[in-house]
Amino acid sequence: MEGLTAAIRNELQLMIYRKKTIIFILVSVILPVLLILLFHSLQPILGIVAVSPSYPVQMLEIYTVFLIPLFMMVEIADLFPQEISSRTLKLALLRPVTRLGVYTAKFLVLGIAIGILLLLLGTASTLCNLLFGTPGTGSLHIFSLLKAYAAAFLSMWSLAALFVFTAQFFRSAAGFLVFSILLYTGAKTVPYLINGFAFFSITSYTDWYSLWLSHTVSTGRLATTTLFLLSGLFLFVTLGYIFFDRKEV
Amino acid sequence: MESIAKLTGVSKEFHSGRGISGVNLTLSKGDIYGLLGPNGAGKTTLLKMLTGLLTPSFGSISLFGQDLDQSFASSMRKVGCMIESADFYDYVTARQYLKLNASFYPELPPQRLDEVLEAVGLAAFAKEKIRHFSTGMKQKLAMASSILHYPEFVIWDEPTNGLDIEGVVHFRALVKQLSAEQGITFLISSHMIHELEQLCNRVGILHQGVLVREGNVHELLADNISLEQYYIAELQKGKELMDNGGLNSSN
Repeated sequence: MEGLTAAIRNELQLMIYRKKTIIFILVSVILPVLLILLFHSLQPILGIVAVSPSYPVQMLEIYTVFLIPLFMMVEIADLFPQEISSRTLKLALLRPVTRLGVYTAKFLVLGIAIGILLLLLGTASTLCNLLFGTPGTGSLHIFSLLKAYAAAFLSMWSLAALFVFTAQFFRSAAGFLVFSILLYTGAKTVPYLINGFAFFSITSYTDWYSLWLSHTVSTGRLATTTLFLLSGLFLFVTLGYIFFDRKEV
Repeated sequence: MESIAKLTGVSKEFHSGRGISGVNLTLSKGDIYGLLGPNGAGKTTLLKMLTGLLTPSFGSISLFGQDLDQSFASSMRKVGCMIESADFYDYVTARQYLKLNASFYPELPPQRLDEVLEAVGLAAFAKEKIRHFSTGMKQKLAMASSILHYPEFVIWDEPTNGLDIEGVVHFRALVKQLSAEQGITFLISSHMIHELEQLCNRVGILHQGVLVREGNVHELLADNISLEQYYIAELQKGKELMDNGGLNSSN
């Protein structure tokens, strides 16, 4: 356990030292501010209610479909294939921690990073709405907002598990990034061509948080989809570990 | 004598056909063991198996009397190593890198980082990013990292690669000092036969994946002018065996 804690601390520290992580997070947090300023400037011209209290939830769609998947792909590329191509994986594997510990630390740190990014994006979007929101357009309950962001976290972490599994087959970060972007785009497109594919694809659950905001969705359906995402998460993490454990560096 | 590392019938087969065949090797506490062999003989493969980076196809490996697979984390707490080449996260400084390693050993005193940087002659470059380091400086940092936690067993693969003459002399003094003061057991693979002759009490010669000969340096030097002469003669014997029908662990 001591080794795992140190490994998690190490991976977090390395993530901070890699400047692109911090730059990505900072640029991401500026995005809701830029968009709300854009909406504000367009409001007198177009005459629409540009910013409602549901702004943090509306922004969540952009975050979960584009921003966070891109962030996780970049981070996974650094955590796995990049470590092999730069021959630094052995540094982690030679420390007093098992391979399972090294792998678990990397996956947990990825989850922590996604959680922090979601938290910052949610906070930034909410502050933007409070400061620049259009008055008299109703309100969104804070509990609903928390539910939506928590649900988004689970769907994003499950998606991350799929990409972590995929990353085990690559020895270069660039190769993994290209493949994972194509895979993600393809998986997002297939449901338009094949009916029913969306039910069995983790990539189709990026807007899953919206179910938690609906009053018409049954508890049973929420439970089923939660179990599906959790199963997907554990399945891909386990499969990923099997391949990681066999790696000879 | 307490056994630090023990390899029993260890083999590793690669798709290329190269690898390691039936190596038996025991290192006792306090040994400074030199592993000699030409390029591609399997020295790095052997060291990688000893540290869990590669899994043996056959045979067993134990460190400190315990099976490596069963007690990897606890055994590696007492091992310091530098395998193959000194590769680092180049976006961190030397001190930051050592601090990352130190987090696995909370019992280390805070001044230990500066002590090891001083010991390898890198104190002046502690706050410099590793990407600006030369090969020799990276090699020194890898040495500093491997002795950071007062290990009982140090494994160094080609430690003098990229070191200048001053660095080599410093390396030799460091090994002698650590062996004398802390009783550390060393396993050093190197092409620098003269270095090993001066440092090691035991040597082993690896040829085409087979440990063709091993022995006490003083005994070997009694029958040979130098370790280099012995090494070349042993390699020649190995080559002749190959030409006459093959070389394996039994012959």
